[in-house]
Amino acid sequence: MITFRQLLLSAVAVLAGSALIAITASGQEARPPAPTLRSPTSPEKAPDADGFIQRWLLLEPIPFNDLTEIAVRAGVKKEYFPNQFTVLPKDGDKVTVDGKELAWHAADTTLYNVNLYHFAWALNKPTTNVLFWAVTIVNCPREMPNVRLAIGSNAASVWWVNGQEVASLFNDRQTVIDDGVSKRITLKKGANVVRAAVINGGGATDFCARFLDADDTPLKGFTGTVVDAAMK
Amino acid sequence: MALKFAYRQSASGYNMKSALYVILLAVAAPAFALDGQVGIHDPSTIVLCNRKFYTFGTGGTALVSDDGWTWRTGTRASRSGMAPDLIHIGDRYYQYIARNVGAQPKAEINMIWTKSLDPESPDYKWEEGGLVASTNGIEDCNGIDPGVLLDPNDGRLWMVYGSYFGYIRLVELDPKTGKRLNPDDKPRDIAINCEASDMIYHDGWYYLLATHGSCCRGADSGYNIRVGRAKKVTGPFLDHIGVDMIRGGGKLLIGSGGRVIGAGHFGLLDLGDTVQKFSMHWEADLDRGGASVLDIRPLLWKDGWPVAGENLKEGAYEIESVRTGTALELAVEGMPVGGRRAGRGGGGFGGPGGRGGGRDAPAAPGAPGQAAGAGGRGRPSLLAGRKPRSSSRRWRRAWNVRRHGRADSAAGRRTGFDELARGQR
Repeated sequence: MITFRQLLLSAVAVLAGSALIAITASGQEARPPAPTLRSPTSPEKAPDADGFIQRWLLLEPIPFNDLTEIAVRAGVKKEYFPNQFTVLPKDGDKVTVDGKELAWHAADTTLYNVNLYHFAWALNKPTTNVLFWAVTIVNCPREMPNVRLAIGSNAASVWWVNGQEVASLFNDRQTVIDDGVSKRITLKKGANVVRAAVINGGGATDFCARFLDADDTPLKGFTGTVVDAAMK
Repeated sequence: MALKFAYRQSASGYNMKSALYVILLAVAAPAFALDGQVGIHDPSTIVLCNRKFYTFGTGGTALVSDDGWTWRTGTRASRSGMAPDLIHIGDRYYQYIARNVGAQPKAEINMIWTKSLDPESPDYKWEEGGLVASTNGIEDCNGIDPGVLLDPNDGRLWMVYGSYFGYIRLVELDPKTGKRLNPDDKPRDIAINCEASDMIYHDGWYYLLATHGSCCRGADSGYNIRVGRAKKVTGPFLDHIGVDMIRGGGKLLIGSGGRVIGAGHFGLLDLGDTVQKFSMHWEADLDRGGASVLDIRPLLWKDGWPVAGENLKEGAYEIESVRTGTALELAVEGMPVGGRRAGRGGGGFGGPGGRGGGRDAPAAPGAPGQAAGAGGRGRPSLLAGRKPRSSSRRWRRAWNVRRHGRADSAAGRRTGFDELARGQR
């Protein structure tokens, strides 16, 4: 049975803990790193066994609060920062959006998906009503025709390959592998830029992406996905 | 009473495997819905005790009902928290309750138990059972939203838990105590980025039900309940197109529709005799000011997958064969498919010469002069050319039809909340 004394002690402990957190964080609670994301330690990273691209540059979240197709389409056309459809950022680069400085972070996911909730949560950034930009570079040893970009996202997302919009998903949805696929496209020899805008309403937010070959099996012919290395 | 009666009809009708479908005619009318105090978020599995139904929700909300339809505020348990689950094993009722012990995902799930859920009973006393699972705030899981399954095959007790922060995990509990069986065993990851998971067993399969989408946003919530299945309790749980729930898979069971938005927190309510329902909450009921409310729906099965049934609306219904699209062949024993068409008009659901229905039976499809006779094509109407009657009378005819048309008549089966409550000791 819980006594009044125990309740009192518990209340004191909670208050003390809260104060400690506040003091330690100097206004922002320090959080452990994202459990599924790592800082890259190699210049390039091959896709995983199922072809999922695991290295991405992620921009800290931008406020956004509508998942409908009309709103998302209008939203991704807005210029939040200069050259948002052509920029090849590096880890640590910063942009200013609506007067707020946001940083790009290079990250390797340990899973098939990139958990944006983990990403934002670890940085103490909002996870609700937000838009994330993600960029990666796929380095192909040769031209690869008849491939599809296969994506899943929580929630809405729009995808571009080499500047062309190729796939999109709308409304509040869960990330499911190959939830949306592009028409057949050609990956050119060398660097191909894959860019995504992922918009979340509430709860989980993540995405996954891979290429499927002409037989709709995971594409593995490319040497790896690179970010920094391709830009240097 | 009319409401209960109609519900029994719907439940039995929907569970006549592969034989019947109850199809709503175009009659706009309010659905039979839960009534009373139904405000709750994250309801536990509904459990029957001393002829009353009980459920507990986040924040300690307790609801109780005598008939499963009309609910009132119940007595809070000794411990409250987030999204509890409730199960009856032997002479004990176990409640598993989560709470944050720091910023999410640092959380823990504790268990309390009692020998009665009825505060009037001398056996009513919640006892602390201790910690059964936790997450440390760093690992890829948030230890909330427990869901418990007592495996009917071997009596082993399992608990799933987790939220959209990461994995849904599975641990084994001791059915004798409700506590964690091997606390040092590593939990098994079985799904990802969803929450409110629960597991049920049906016809050789383990089904993992979990809620996708966003919660707690009122009418903007995207909550929807998904399901995958596995031959083993440990998974892998694949959806109907083979996508593993640990990669986001999940077949839709129920989502938003009409005036209710955001379906979450599945809980099985097995009424016995093949009649099943499931509990859940709506994030927003627009007819109740957008409040989060309890709902209970028929749980149907089709091709090995659970299907969310509708609570029936008042109106006229017809019954037709899933196999042939006609009604008569179900009622006329031995009638061949496509056989004996011309000039019959009877031999159907209570029509002249039919096998039941009595004086008030509706005209059988395929009456003389109609192009689509018995066993013919097209959609027969049980009420063709008839003046609409009260819903209860129409239902009795449908009841008669089924009772006389099938050897395994639904008549007299205990298919409703009220019979179950009366039958329980």
